[in-house]
Amino acid sequence: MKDTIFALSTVPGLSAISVFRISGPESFSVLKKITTGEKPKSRYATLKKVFWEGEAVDQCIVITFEKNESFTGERTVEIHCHGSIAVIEKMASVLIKIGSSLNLRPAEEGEFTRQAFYNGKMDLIQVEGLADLLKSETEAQRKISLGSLEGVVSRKIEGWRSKIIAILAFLEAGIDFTDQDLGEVPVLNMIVDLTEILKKERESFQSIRSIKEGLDIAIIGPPNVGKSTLINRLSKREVSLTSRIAGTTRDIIESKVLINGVVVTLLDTAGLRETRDTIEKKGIAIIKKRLKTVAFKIFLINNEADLKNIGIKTCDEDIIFKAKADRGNNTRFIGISGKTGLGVKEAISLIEKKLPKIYFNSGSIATYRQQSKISDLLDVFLGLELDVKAGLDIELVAEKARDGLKLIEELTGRIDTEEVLGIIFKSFCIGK
Amino acid sequence: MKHLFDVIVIGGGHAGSEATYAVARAGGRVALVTKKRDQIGVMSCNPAIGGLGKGHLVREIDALGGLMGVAADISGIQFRLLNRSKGPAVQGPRTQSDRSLYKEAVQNILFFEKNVTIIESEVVDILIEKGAVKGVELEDGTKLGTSSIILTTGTFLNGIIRIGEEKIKAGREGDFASLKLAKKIRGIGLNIGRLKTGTPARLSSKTINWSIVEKQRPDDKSTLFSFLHKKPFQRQISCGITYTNSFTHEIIRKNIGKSAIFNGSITSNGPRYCPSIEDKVVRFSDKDEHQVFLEPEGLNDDTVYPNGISTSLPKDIQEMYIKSIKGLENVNIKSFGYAVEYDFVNPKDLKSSLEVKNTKGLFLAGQVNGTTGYEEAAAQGLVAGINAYRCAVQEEPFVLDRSEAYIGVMIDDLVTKGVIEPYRMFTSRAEFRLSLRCDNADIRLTEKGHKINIVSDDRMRLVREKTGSINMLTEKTKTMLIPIRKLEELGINQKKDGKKRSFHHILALKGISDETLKKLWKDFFNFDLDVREFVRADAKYNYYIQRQKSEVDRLQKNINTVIPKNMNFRKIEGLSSELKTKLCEANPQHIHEASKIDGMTPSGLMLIISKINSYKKTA
Repeated sequence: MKDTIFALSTVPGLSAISVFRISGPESFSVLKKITTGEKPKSRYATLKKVFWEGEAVDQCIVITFEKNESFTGERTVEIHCHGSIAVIEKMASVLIKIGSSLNLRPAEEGEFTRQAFYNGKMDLIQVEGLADLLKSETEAQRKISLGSLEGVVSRKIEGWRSKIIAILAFLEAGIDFTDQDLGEVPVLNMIVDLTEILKKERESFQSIRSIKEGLDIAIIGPPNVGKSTLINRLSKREVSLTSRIAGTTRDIIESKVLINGVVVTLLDTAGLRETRDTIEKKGIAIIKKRLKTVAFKIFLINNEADLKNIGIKTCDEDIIFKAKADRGNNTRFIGISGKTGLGVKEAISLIEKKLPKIYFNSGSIATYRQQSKISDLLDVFLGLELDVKAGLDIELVAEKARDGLKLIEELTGRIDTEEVLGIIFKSFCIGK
Repeated sequence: MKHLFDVIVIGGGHAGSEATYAVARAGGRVALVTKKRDQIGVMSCNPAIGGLGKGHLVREIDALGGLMGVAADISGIQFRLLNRSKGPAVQGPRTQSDRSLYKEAVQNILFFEKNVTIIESEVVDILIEKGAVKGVELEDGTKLGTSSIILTTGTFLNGIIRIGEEKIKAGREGDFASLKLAKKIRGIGLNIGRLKTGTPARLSSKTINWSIVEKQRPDDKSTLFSFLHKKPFQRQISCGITYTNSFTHEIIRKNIGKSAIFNGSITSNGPRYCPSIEDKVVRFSDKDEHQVFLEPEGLNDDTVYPNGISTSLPKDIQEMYIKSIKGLENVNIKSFGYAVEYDFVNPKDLKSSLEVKNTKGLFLAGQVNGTTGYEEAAAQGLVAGINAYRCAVQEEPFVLDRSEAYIGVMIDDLVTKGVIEPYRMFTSRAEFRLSLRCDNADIRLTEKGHKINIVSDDRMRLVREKTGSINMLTEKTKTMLIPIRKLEELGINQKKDGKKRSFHHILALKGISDETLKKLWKDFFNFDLDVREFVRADAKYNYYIQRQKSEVDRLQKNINTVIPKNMNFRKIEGLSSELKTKLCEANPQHIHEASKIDGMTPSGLMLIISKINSYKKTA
């Protein structure tokens, strides 16, 4: 017998309303034990008093969901009670007590979603989308994860899956029906068509990951050039301690800011210079290591000579500013002043341009797992493209295509040979 | 009732013959009840055995000591290995057979088998008591007692033949349908459905203008079915190939409303891979011609089977469109094509042993289970024969897995998925296609057959010798190393890494001719052809086969995985509904418990495991 589970689905603590959710085969029996009268009509909000041992606990709105009509796919009851600590605690203790006579227990973390998954209410992509949605902090993250939750991504993957099944069908037709007059079989074109689509998809992975997980930008420059001042300016708050003394910043200080819907982590670093101080040396080594994972760097310099003295090469994506420009600018770079705010606006718009374009395309493949599977898939079919061109035996090409299908099935659904045969019979005039 | 027979087989077609012979080989006393003794082993549709996927089945039947391969070899008049240009895993032997020689070969085997009794009669009732078989009743009222029955009635259960508007109650042209038995089967509580199949007109060879049609020649070197045979028994002949044309199509299109398939009289499903000519013309209207193979039915037979134009159009229309085809302008039609509708039992009602689930001792094999084709029927007959006898003597059933044989794939498909159209074997149905080959059917299966006493000691000895040679040759080819320089001289380009390549490695390469191999190591050709072919195929596929094995191993590793309490088996996509029901009833706690459920397949287990794992990964 499956367990029935319950949990407080809203944040514990003072609020207008708190919601308890009960899910599982016994949930209607639980409701019967604590309310009087008829079970409310499925999916209708109904005012009910909750009683326990003859005493009223609270006046609540109760909603019931029939099996297969709920989020979890199980019979579900939602009790919307008042959001006081006392009510929440009383309600929870009542439900725990019922657990001694009925098969009811507190839910484990994520267990409602697990029920939904095992009941086939959500596929894996949707579960991942939900997890992301609950974690989302930015508008961009919300849109991407909602697309995943709503099945936009699943449908897209389903589209690729049909393409793979068609490829497989054409290959299998070339094996099982060679005694027939099949005409031209454009398998190579079909493979190329798929790899082109997957390539485009893979190209977007990096920027989608940036949107989802944010990206790091390091601000580097010689000591006391005003890096911390600039960071405070960009963050609109005091993140880094500033002083006139060179070397005030020793550790890497992080500040998260939202630029154009992307979470950007600005890294304030210790000033870079030739030094004999062992601690400072270690600090600089740590910075250099960290710089390998940043999206790009902002160099803040006093003069062109600094670029050499810092000991770090600039890349094409990097931005270079002349610091303390309120005191003048004799370089070819844009001047900026953390102190007066001079040039900060221009700097931000420059940074914005460097950020990945946000795809408000809600079918984006966002999780690492999905992205790596799709990369594998692309590799399989790129390999297949070469194999077909090189004239590999058709049964081995088909074997590899079957692998491709398995990969996509690990993302969602499942294959049936009947489906492959179905396409063959639809596409070709088979039969002597 | 005294049991004179361990097993009674009803029907003498390909399933019935193979079943009867299997029981006899295993040592059982068996009666074959058939309406016409001289029709045993008759080829009622086209006179050919084998093909892609089907050839695999025949080789497997032969590896288990069955009769189909032997009879096909004895009667074969045009051997061709299909997919010769492709890899060994997807090649399939096929032959045209001399219809009368085939029948004769089958009858010779059965009539001279001491355990077999042929009874020329009709079974009108199957006697069942308390859910178990007790015997059969014949048309003259005789009752025969037995504990095991194999029903192989083909298209005879409620068979209805249709030609245009005409409607005849018959299982086959000139043979009456089995109506009483059909009623009885419906009474047992089995799920019965209707299927249809069709056959073309038969033509008189003398009246075909052979000089203007293309020729399809037999292979120069014949590939036979039985592992015991090397050379064909009969003279090899060519078939003809001609084509329909736009005029043919116009005649058919104009008269489409008269076809039994299109005028609404037939609603049941026919095989999609074997459509009638009217189906082809309607569904693929862009094609302006369709191939027609002109297959002689025998060396001394005037009948020709025009493969590719099966139909249920009225006779006058058939005559018109046939005469519109090149080479057939003046043809004399010996008999007309027809469609036949018949009862079949949904094979989901069967266990993997082919025993009916709700009736102990009742086995079903062949077209009655919704399959089509002689080879599919014979393969089921073999399994049903083995298991009916094992049931009679209370032994465990003999079941082949999907990873062991095409026979296993077919029966698993049938009993777990059921059928909606006549089921035919294809190589694409086999997940383990690269290891389930025609060339290794004996290595895969003969020992299994020997263990259950259906394969002779002689045959077993031959396979042991072959295995020994294979091992020796494999070892030699792996240890024989060839320098890159020598390979380059022969035009074989390899990465220049200074390493020598084994002969085994060279065997796996594509497009290496026998001449080249001779120059590398001529003693290779001292080994028998079948041994060489095995080693070559093995070299070619070894990498892929190992990978598939690792998949099977992965399953083993997961055997202790706990199945979550709240797992809803009904919602696992890809599981058959029967398996879902069984899983729900059994409610297994671990994968190894789930694996013991009857009918559970490796792929089914993988689905459950991946469902559990995929959630764990995200959680």
